[in-house]
Amino acid sequence: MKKVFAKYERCFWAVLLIAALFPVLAFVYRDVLARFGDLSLFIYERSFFEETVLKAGGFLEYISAFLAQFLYVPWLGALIAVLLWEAVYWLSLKAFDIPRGFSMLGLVPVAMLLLTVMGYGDKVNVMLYRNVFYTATLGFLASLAILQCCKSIGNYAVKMVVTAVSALAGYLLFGAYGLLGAALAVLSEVSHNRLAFKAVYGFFDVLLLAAIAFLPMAFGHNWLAGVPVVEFYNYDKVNVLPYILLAAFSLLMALCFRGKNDKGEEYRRGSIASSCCVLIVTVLIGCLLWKAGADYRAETKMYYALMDQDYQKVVKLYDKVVKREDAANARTYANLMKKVKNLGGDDRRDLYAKYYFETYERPSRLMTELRMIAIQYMGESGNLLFSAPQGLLTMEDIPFVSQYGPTIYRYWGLFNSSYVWSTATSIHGGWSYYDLREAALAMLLAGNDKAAEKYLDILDNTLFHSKWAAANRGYFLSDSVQLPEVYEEHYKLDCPRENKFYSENGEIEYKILEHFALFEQPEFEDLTPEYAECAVLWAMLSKDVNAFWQALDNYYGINEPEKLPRYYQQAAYLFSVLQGSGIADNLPIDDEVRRQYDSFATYMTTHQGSVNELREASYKRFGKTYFYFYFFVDNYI
Amino acid sequence: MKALYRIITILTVAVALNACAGVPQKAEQAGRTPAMTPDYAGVTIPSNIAPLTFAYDEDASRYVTVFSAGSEKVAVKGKDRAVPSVKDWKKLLSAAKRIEVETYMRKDGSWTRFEPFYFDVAGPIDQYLAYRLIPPNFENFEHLSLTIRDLTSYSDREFYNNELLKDGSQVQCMNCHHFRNYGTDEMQIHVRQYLGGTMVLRGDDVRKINMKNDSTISSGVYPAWNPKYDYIAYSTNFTYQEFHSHHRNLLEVIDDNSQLILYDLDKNEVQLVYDDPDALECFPAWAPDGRRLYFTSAYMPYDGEPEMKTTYFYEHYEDIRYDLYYIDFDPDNRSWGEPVKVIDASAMGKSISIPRVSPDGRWLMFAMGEYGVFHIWHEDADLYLLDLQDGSWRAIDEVNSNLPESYHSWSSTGEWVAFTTRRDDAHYTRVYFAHHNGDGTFGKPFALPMKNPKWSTFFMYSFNVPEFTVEDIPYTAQELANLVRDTETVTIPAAK
Repeated sequence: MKKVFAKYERCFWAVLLIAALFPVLAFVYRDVLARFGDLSLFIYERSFFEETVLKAGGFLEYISAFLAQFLYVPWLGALIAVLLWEAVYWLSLKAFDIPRGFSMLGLVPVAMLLLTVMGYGDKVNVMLYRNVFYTATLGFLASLAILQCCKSIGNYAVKMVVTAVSALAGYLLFGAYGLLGAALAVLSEVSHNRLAFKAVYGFFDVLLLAAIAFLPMAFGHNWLAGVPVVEFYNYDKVNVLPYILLAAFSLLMALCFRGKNDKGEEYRRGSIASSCCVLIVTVLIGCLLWKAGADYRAETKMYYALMDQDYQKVVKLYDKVVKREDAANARTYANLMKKVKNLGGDDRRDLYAKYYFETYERPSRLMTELRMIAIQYMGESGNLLFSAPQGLLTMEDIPFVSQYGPTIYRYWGLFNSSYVWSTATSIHGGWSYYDLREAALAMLLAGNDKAAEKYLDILDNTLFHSKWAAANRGYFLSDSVQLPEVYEEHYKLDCPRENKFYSENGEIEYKILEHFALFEQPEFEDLTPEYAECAVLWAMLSKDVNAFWQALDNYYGINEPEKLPRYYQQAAYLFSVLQGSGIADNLPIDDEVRRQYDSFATYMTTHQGSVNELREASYKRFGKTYFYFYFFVDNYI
Repeated sequence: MKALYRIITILTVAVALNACAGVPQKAEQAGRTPAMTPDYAGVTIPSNIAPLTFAYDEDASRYVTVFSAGSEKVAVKGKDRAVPSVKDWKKLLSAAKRIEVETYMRKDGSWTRFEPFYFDVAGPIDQYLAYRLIPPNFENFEHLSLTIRDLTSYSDREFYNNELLKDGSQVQCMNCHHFRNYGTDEMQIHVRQYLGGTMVLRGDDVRKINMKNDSTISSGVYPAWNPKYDYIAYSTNFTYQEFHSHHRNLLEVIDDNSQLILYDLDKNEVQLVYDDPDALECFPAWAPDGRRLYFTSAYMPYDGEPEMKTTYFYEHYEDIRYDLYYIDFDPDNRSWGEPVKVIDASAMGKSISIPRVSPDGRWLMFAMGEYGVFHIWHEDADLYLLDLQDGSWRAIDEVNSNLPESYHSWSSTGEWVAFTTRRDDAHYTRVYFAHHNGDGTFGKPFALPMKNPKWSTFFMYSFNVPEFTVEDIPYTAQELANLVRDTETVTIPAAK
């Protein structure tokens, strides 16, 4: 068995790589891959080629963009990725002369390359440029190819010349990876060729290394050409670590193995144990750097469910996140209280409860926004809005206007804002399929066909999105084609059409709040039932009593409902009681709502503890009421 | 000798035959000119312009385009476009005053011949055009560059890029590149925010100035360098930008306060020219003699709370309408006459922007729309021409489109105008040129020639402020960036 494993060890790891990664990427990370694809762009047009290729690392960017278009079909994108990583594995073994027994070290670069893409998380939306999924992999393959090519040359002088030329050509074509490949070749030479230890060769090696290191100075000082990094306002280059580790590992490997030890024997003893250690460390580092976690996956899933108009799925995904986080929060709170008890100081209870609410887990605000759209389009916002907790907007999150801003604006009927943000996000990182689709759609919905035509024309020149462009041309520019229902729904919220001015500062929810609830309400006859509903929804979120009554009045007048939705009843009853106005007496408010409020009020007045403790204690019982939201939850907008 | 003639004749015939090789002998007649992008049919072009390339918008598998001028004949084959070589193009331009273009289209195995169209060749155009490239969105300004294009070829280069001075989140906006008398030895650009100041470059005399002082409300904004005397007139403006929720114009830029000022380059001081608290002055432009300054002004009195002024102006944005004025200037003692209203646009429910006087002083071109100052975002904005001799003015219908026309500049000879328009795709500003026939009429405008005729669809930047120059900019982008970084900003005092 041992012998068989030793014989097929390399194949074993290779098969394991495919077997482990392909299903995970193709199915578990399906939506994450699709998002990578959406944030790419490859246009079958000469100007795109010229614009992309004519810079250091441009060729790498071009072929990366070419492959990234296939992420539109996630399993195909996953397959391409896994095959490329297979190539990295085999070429690593070959180029680094990794002997048998150490083969699993060939997986380390693969792990690092996987991290270069999964290390972005939601920050992939604010990349300096698009088409990032295959860039590092293709670039590293180029590095390995340069190393292998230079290694295979026997003559020292020829090898040095080829290395120098490879550095230059490699840099121009593959950016920093070209430099890495050439540097690996020189280090490998130092390590492998005994002649290199002679002073004169050593001198030339050092000279060449220096030349490689300073080569980018001749080309605009761009040492990171071809390395996609995050650089967006306050977000530092957070995903650089996998690249550093990849480079460090490669340089180490170039110096490390010579295939055989000094006695001419292949490395064997202790090889599996030491390799396992390296692999375990790699996995641990991977876990720390893995940013495409459950929340990011949930966000992308919710977005694509929304695109499929599967609103139920959006709600279910949200509930799943809440369930997971509620369980985690309950454990955290219990542990904190246990700690308080052990410390024996009741006075610390509030402090710990406060700390809990500062650190507890909640869905992201983006998830909440996607859920709100889903329940609005289901026609259930009045009955579902507060049935799940509101999401948080943390400092670590990137503004979600930079992620799905154009889509969110579009779904709330703010087409101009949708357009402005699709162009705004494209300025930072370059245009993507997503931006082009949203820009085209916003202008088509706004009735500016001429403006939309440009984006549709570009999409016509793409592989997977030309059909979308043709279909949408048909919907909007042909009288005979029926507009899809979702677009009809957008129009219902695009109301009133009275023009207003906005500052575009990226505070997307506040702007929607202004639009529906804070600005002066439009004339009754200008309203659609859907707009009236949204006005109540956002007024409830704003906690603005006057806005609520005005919106409810309009809603009541235009919809003439026999029964008010649950949360409208709760808000109406609450505000009526708080104002002492008795308005609720004239509204069809269920007895159950009245009882629930009385119960809530009693609980609040009789339960002991600080506000934070009350907040936690009443969550289970009243967490799904508007009363709880009003008193205990910041609206985060 | 006879043998030599024979060889020359044979070679000439061979060259001529080769030039027209591939031209179909049999073809059906289409009876119309072909549809193409850009639409160059019937345009008047400069004698030194880069080759006009165009893509056919017909459904066909290949094309042969025959360009003929005098004895010169050039056949260009292409799958969907006609891209003549620079060498052939130069021959055609110099061969005759008219180039005929004949198109053959191959579809389903047979050839169709379209009716020919023509390019009329007029005098030369200034060799260079400087412009700013900007994404058509004013949310952020990190990707701005100033570019100079050689109009006789396709070559262009950046002479400033604000990314060169980016420092973390510290970025700057730059605008208003401006040249004195079409030369580049005296020029200015504004740099806003980080490392901000107005760069005034006159050879070795490099200044970075801030004109905001006790008597001015802001630093200089729209510049006008006196063609004869060492002064630069500016408007100062408190400018705001907001976005429309439903309007097709998408965004609105307004001023709620402004002045006219004069920067004296020799005395290094700023003079307040005109400051009516009830009016908004903008867009100064000198007459060629340097003794008259044209500008626009909107009467917009406001006596409410100062902090509500911008809100009030936004609420009444459609009422802000600019008229055209001039004010006479005595350069010897730097004194000014009284403002004279030239066109009362507001009385007609219109608003004027960007007055520019032709080099011979006879014509004044301006943009006019229904309201406001930022006409590139106004679909109704068109170009107009005022005859300064008799005071008559008209819309330049032969140049205008149903989408915005805005910024424009005269060439140094006055024979050409470059102007910005959004006629191609509504939101991306492009540069077009039109031939001035000398009598206040213009030829059909043509788009800035590019090697790839389909570039406009795929180019995601707008062209801003196209300005002719007769010479190249004497700085590389890095050199200019270094000057911006290394020159200390000096606040210019008010004139006493």
